[in-house]
Amino acid sequence: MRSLRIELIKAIEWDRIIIARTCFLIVVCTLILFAGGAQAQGLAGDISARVEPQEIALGDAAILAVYISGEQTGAPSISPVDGLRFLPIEQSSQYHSVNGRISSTVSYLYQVQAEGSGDYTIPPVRANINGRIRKTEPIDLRVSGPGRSRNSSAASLLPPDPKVDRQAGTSSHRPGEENQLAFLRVTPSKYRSYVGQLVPIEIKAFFRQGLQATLNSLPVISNNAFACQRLSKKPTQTEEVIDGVPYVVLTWHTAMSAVKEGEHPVSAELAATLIIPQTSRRRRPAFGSSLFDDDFFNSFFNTSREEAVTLTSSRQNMRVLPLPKAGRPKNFSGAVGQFRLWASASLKSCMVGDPITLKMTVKGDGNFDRVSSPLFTSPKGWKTYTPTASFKPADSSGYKGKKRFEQAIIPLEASIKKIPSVEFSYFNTNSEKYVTLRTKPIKIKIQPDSIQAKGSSHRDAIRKASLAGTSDSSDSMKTPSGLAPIHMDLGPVVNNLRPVFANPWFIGAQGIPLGLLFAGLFLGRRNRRLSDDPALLKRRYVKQKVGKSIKEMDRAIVGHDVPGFFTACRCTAQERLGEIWSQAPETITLAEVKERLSENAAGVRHVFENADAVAYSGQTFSQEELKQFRDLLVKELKNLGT
Amino acid sequence: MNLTNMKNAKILRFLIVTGMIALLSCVSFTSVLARQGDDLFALGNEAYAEGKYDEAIFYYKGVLEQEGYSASLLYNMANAYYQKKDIGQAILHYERALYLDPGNTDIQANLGLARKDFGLVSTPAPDWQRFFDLLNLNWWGILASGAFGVFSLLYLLRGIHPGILKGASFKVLATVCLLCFMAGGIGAAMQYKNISRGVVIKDNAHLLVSPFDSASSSASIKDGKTVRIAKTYRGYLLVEGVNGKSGWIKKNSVEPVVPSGKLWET
Repeated sequence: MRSLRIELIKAIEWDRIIIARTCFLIVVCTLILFAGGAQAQGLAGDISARVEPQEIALGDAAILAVYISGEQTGAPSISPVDGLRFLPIEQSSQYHSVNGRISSTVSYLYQVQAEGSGDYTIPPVRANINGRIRKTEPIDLRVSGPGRSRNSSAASLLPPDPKVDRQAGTSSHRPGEENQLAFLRVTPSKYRSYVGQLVPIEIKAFFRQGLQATLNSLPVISNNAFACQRLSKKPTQTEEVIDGVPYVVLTWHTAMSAVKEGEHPVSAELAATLIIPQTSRRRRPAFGSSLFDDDFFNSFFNTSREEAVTLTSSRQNMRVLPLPKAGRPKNFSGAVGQFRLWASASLKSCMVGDPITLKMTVKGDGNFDRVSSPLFTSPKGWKTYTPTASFKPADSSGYKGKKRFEQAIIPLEASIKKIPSVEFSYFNTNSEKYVTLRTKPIKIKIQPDSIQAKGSSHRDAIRKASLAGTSDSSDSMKTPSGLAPIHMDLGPVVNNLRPVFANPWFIGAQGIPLGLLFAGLFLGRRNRRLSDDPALLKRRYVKQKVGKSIKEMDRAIVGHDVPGFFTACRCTAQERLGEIWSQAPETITLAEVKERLSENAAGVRHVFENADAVAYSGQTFSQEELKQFRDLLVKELKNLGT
Repeated sequence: MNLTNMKNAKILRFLIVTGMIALLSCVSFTSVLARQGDDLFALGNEAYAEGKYDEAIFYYKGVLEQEGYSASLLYNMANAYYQKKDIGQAILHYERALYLDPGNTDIQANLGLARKDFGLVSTPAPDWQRFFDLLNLNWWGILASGAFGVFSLLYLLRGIHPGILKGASFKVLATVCLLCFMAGGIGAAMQYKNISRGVVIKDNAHLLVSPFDSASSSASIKDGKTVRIAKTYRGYLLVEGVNGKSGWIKKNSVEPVVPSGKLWET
């Protein structure tokens, strides 16, 4: 019994193991089957699509990306949607090899342009994958912003600016560009425009890095439906990598305008000469490597050949719409774009007959070559001249900029208070309407002509006659005559037209200021030197002092003032001797004079002796004697210095 | 000390008087002379108003002989020539009027109109150049000379009396003088180019490759065209047009803007 029980337990355990193992196998098989199914599903092919961004403003563009994977795949088919345009941008492929079976994933990029705002649904995109038609889910796209609704006439709408993800566009080859040494791309900023509208375009020439090329021409738009602005002879040079291949890229930015309506392909051509390196076909040695089988000799022996090519860009259609006839202003000159206008006058107050320069500026973007001068709204009472124009571009293509007009206008009546407004009309590509810009009238103060004020009938008649004969007011625009009136006053008269500096006296007269300048410089220098030299200052001081004392002596002689005369004499002698002996004049005494002066200076000694005598004894001298003393003293003092 | 001061004062007085005389003599160069041709001028204007342009020119020429040149006279003459469709003489007289009064808008407007009407292309002067059209060549020269004279006088006064002009006052005055001198110099240089200019007065005058009658013609030049006179040789002038074309032309086919210009006299 016990053994039976043990056998039964063993059997149950065995069954459990078998059940567990069976369950494990089932799980493994299920996993394998699921995996295989998944793989089979992958091999069977798939299609997916998405749009980025899912909401755009009117005028912008979205990108629709369609991914198709499978062994044998066909191109996707997109059902048309009212109000949407699908423009293919690029196609790229990736290949996979799984267990020896090769499959591919092909991605297709489309630019989606909307013709009006609203909610759109892109229907399922279909594609033939491995013989079966597969499709994606419908995709929603919301287009917001101003503009007409999708139900309005699409034909009159402007194309939106396709703000394509440029990275996506430039990082991959477009169809036909693969395996090319060089190729050309043209990218207009808009794919739909009006006749005459200037559309900025970018032209890029790609050359494989390391390839030498010479441009034989500038890129030319190959369709004569477009007129292209002048291209720069020096394009910008950059480097780009496309699908891992480095390129040297020359870029021209310009603008073109369509000259006729319709659907026109846009493409460009560029003539170039490529210098293509060729490896010399040297025979490999049968045994081992040769001495010349290294990079240096390979490059040395390599040859190159020149090949003249014409690079042609892929065609991109542009829809050109005619300018609407309805609502076209009379003064419309063909300007298309967005513009602003303002005006100013050179004078705020003047007299009748004075010319005023009216400056008008048109700024914005568009076809400036068709921007003509704004016109006077009411030219009555004004004489107008043909304006001059100058254009200052703000970009290399001349698409943006500022056009300035200057027009000479002359008021013919003192009753005029304002310069009338000026008008300029253009077709606005944003609002798709003709717009007439009008400036504000400029206030001006006009005084009557001075000749009229004087009441001189003679001159007045002439003035009027001259105005009538030469001016034609509003008609001046139509006839070539439009001279400013003649002058009534002769004005300042000169004998000849010879320039003033051709006259010898004028040239000679220039010596005067030159002399003054040198004299001033000399004196200034002298003053500075004097101020810096104490000896010179001392000498000058003594000289002044002596001069003053001599004058005192003369006065004393005239007044017969004997003590005063001798005091002045002694003072003079002391000053002079003090200067010579370099000591204080007051300290010089008779004893010192006797001791230091030679016999030649007897006069000086006499002065000192007599001065003391006169001071103490009251001795007198006649005027004649005093004069003799004076002359003697002056003479001896002069000699002392030599 | 007093004696020296008196001497300095005398020198100062003498210099001031001398300076004033020099300045007045400069100014008096262009001072208006007594006019006796006013009547002739008025008669010319009357004839012009009546459409008698030949008669008007006759009277204007009389004024020219009696009085001399004035911007208004030359301008009116130019208008009369313009009405006669004598574009060479019209442009010449407008240019001469503009030489005397460069900033006159009437002259500028009519010259521009005349050029436009007769298909003579001219490049407009840049904005900065218009400042130098405020005065003519002579006045710019006088301004430069006067400014230099005042500057020299300031230096002299400072040399005689160092205390008179000290510090900022001298610096300001000296700077103003120097600026005026520079402006005058530049203005004179800008206007000087008119000296060597001439206007073709004969229609379809031929530019020759060398100054001889037998020389072959290299181009023809329209009347009214402004040219630069580079050289003279016997009866021929070497002229350069705006477009860079140069050649010899007969002297009587070109009239200089400044009749007494240096080049013309050689």
